[in-house]
Amino acid sequence: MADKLIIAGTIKEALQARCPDAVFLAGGTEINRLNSSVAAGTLISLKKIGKLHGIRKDGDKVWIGACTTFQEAVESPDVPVWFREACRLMASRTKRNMATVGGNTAILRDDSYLVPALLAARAIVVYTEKSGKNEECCVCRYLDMRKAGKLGDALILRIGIDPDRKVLLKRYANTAMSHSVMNLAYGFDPDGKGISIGAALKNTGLFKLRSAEELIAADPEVSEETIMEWARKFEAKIPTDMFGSEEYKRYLLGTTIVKFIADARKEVLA
Amino acid sequence: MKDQYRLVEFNLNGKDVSCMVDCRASLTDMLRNDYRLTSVKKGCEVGECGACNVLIDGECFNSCIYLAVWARGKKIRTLESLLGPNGELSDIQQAFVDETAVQCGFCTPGFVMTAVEILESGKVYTDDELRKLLSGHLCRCTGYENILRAVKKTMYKRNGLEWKEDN
Amino acid sequence: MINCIINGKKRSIDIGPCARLRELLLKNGNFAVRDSDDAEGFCGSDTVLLDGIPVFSNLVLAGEAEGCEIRTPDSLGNSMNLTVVQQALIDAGVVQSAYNAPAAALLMTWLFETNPDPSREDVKDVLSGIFIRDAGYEQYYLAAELIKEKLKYGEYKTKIAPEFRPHLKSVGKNKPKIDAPQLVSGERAFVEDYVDSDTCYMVVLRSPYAHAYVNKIDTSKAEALPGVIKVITAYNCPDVTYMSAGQGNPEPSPHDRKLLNKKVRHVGDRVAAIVAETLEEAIEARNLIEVEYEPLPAVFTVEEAMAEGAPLVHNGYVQYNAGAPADLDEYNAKLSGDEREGHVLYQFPLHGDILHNVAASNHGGIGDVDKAFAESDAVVEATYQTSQIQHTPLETHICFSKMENGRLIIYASTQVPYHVRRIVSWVTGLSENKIHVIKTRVGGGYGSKQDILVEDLTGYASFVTGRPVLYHNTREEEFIANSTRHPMKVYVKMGGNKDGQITAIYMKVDANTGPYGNHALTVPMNSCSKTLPLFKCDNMKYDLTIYYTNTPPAGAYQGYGTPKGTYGLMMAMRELADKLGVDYKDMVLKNHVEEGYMLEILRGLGEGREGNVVPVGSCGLRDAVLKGCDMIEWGKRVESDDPDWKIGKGFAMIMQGSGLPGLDHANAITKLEMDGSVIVTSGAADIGTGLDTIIAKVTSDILCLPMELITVLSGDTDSGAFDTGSYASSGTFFSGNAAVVAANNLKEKILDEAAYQLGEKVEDMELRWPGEVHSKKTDAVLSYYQIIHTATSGTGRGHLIAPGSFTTGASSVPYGAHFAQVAVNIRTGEIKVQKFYALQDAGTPINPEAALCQMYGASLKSIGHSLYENMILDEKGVCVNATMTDYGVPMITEQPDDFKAVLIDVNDPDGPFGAKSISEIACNGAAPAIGNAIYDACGVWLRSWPMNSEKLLRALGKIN
Repeated sequence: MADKLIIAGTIKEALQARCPDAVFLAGGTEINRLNSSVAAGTLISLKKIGKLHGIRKDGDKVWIGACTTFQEAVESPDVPVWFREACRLMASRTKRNMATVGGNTAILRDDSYLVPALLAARAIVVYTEKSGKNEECCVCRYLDMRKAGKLGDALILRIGIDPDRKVLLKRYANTAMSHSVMNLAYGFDPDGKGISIGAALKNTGLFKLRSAEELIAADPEVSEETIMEWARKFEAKIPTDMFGSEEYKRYLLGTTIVKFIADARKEVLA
Repeated sequence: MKDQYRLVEFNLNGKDVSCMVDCRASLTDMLRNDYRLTSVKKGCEVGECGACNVLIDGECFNSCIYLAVWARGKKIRTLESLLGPNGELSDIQQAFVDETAVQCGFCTPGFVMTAVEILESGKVYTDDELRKLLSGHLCRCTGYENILRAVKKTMYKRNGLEWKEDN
Repeated sequence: MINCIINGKKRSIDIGPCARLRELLLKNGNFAVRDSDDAEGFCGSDTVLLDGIPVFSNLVLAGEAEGCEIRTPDSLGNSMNLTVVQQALIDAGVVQSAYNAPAAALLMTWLFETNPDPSREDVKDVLSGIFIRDAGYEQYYLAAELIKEKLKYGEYKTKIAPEFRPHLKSVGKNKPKIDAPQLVSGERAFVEDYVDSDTCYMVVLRSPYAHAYVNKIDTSKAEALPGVIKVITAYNCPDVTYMSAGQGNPEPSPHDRKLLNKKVRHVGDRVAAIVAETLEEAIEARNLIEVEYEPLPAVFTVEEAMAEGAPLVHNGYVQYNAGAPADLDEYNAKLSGDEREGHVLYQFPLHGDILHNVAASNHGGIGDVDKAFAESDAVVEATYQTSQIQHTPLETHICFSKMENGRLIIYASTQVPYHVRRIVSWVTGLSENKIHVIKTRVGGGYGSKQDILVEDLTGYASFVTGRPVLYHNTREEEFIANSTRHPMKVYVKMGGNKDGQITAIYMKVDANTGPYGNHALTVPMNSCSKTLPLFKCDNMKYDLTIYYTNTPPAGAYQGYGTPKGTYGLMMAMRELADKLGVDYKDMVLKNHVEEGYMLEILRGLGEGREGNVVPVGSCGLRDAVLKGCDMIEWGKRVESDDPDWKIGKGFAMIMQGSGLPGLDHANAITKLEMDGSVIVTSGAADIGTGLDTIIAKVTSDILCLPMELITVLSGDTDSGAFDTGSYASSGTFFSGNAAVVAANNLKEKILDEAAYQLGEKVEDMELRWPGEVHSKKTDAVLSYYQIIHTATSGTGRGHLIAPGSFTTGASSVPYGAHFAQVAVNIRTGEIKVQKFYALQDAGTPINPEAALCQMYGASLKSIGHSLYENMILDEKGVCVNATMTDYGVPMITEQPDDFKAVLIDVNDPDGPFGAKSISEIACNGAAPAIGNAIYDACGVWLRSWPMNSEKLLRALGKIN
């Protein structure tokens, strides 16, 4: 465990405290947990930074402060239903009282609750690095940069989502409290176009499933077999492990997207 | 208030230890509360009864009227240090048992520690001298005779003297 | 220094900012904020309110609480002054083993403070972060209703549970569990609450290998560390061979281990125990121990264990205390006899063969199955595999021990205080009078605390160091170094005729006992002895073989072997019914036993000796089946709107026992105190089930005395009298009956004394409420106070004390049937239990509301076993999912929406006031009921646990 705790009162203080041995601490459900994926000597607590809290509507976006807890989001009437549902995927209410939207995004776990939904929603991440200048990019860009080893020190300030965007969710886990074997989200515009699929595949990683999106964009009537075939060949390395066999996971991936396509079609028609 | 607590480093029953103590605390309190050495009994708390006696650098003291902070750098021994590696009683403790010198037992640890000081001096004392040496202890149960006998027998034994019943 | 407000009071606590908030609260004395998961954020035992919001205090840093307001369960009422919420939890019966009941009470309080009219969904939501293993969640919904009513109307409107036996005042009535106020309010109750402040800590160095010799252990660096008091290894521990099961002595399990062995037999096996002044020092010292292992090839499954030339888990030599075979020397000559192996000592023959990794075996049957199969209209056969399952009690195994005046005092969280005392006596060499076992309240046992898994080592450590020693399992240790459900392979062959008559049953059971033989024979035996006697069938045969392997150890688990046998038999029966074209319900009704049917099959199924052949006694089986079929609308298909979801129904007959006739033994001593109140000192071990309350209730009705005037002291080996312990569903039947005998004996003494004092005849005396003797002849009345006062006066005849002992050859079997309606998604393989109905004949339910909770809890637990729970070992024998999150216990989210427990009213002639056992049996029905429902829904059989989506998709041909 860490041996130093800094309670930051402002974003500036938080950024100044950042050093190689330090990490930002938000809800604590990951960092303070047994077998945490994060180890650091210094923790910089963000909870007291007022600017990281709150949900507000601004133009065509809903902005969710990074330190908004899952439960605050669940209870907010300003947040679209799919986002509340994504937060509810964290089954434990007590944990939802603690875990934050920014924390869950930044930690990028391969069983992430929110990242697939944010990818599907084409959500915007507003962050700042040491310079203190606010930057923004879409979640998929954020994910790519993080995968490339960049933005590790960035502090997420808020997440912006488009309330008109439709997102379908499907999470597979042994029990509701278990780590998910797969958490998928399928986003589209009200007209059915602009498809974006986000995936958290346990022991594989987080993905925006571009190749699947392209198949669907190219042929809205794409056959079940084509999608299943795509899933069988999807380029990521999917291991056989305690969560299931590779074949099982690829099957679930494919069949869930097939179901998403059908459900999305129904929703657009409705 | 800032100086109310002080770090005291000392040797307790053979081990170097350190402890933050309230400057007002007695050695009895520190030994009982911080080290749970329950052989150190609180009898009168005014240095009259000897139930709290411990050895400080080999000399027996009433720990109730000795400030904990004075223990700095000292070697403190309590009854607990007398036990063997598997909890065996020492000769002087066994003698107390054998001579029925223990009744309610509250004064016993203090008596034993004074006895240790006597025994470790290596000297052989007369009955009168022993009585005087043990006079700092109060015992309401035994009437002292058996205690005297226990100490005396052990003293004889340790000094290779033959014990006779009319000694 | 952290400044915060705890329960309304400003506090400054001297603790570092990176410590956990829970540690801060412990420093402040809020010990009811407990830890069940080593800060995993799962079980919720550490829940507190931080600035009015429920959080896991283990996941908050102390420094983050600076300036905050914290509320802990201590802010609610104490046991003398309970709040409405606490009282409702007690009245609803959910305060059972109760390790996190204070946390649940805090959550429910918070719920009602923020929402006076919560919906069922709101209750479900607030409890979603709390793990309850014993009582399930269903009665929490009832508690919520009770709270609502009490707050609104000042009284309860809802009936808590059905009541039984109107002529009695306490038995069969909804009267709160007598230990519940202490438990719900978070007062001192568990082992950890009684630890002295000068305690030392013990940790165990565990084997990284599944199978290896420990050739050398260098402890010098560890011992040189300041604060280290003692390192115990196989090279300095007592040379005593025993085993861990708390069973009747001599045990039907091989003695095959020492305190520490020179050969480790599973990943997590004990290598060394380190005792130090602080936990940190003990852990640091553990890291400094150098061990020279000689790894050996290992076996993990029964198939590997039985293979020709398989590595031998025990390869020393075999001894028998009685009944050694004539060729034992020849046999032993074939074993390595290596000194590091130790030896296997059978108390009497269990038909083991360690040369083939067989720990024990048993074979028998009645009639001629081969002939019957040949003559049957149809025969089905299949193999059913069950998985390795952990009990996951909220309180992991813990022991605190110390020496006092040459006596060893052990605070134990155990089901078997007297067996703890005996085994610690063997290990230390102390006679039993020198050992005092104090069973505290137990934070969940379920069979895992029937084994002496930590008390032997902890007790020995205190004995050898003279110091108080605390040992507490981590959650990971609870998984890998404790006991688990035996994985079993159950092959069933069943034949029947077109009229639905079952003609023959054959069971072949291959069980995996892991590295040691505790419960090796008896658990697997239950897979036959508590299943085959459900059937009126003349031809039945079984072959049981129990193998040693290098998996984490198996042991006792609620239901013992029965859930596995029931799984195979009831699934096979459904399959046979289909094959014969008979409805499963009709087949059940045609073949089940009824009162008076002579159970010849039991002859071969004693615990290592000849079994008692008895007729079926009181039996509510048929009622349970018929009523359950009505409730679930058997035969009526349910369709989903979504074509991917298919819905099916299934059920299973179930039975268990009520203790072990001819083996179990219980005692109680009942005393009339000086003011006419009563103290019962029982040998029983209440592990949260309400056994103490049962003892109080039977005593109350016999002595015509209100329960408030009866105190039950139990589980204390100094003050009680011998009891074999709480296992095999014996509590109510044996310990309850012993209390009945003691109370009746005291009643005789009171009547006799009253007659003497009145100068009348004893036959004219009668007991009357509330605690007086009345003369039917003269109408004279003496209160108990008057009687005992005179009896203990200077001229009296003495204190009125009555012992009671209970043994029996009678076998009171609880019966029942569990029903499931299951929805399966044939696209994704997801399986949901929509409805679960548990119907059980428990004889007279002495504590009806607690009985329902036991049924809900055990049913939900076994739903978990059937669908989610499974310890997964990698190729080296390392358990890869030894955390709560990865292992997969059911929480409130998994509980079926329509969940009902129904008590079938049957009066048993031998049970105390007609009572039989209640909880173990409730573990037996879920797997086959769900398995049958899955088949009913989509036509495929899932014949292994856990029945999960991947297996379903495979069975459906969706994946290969």
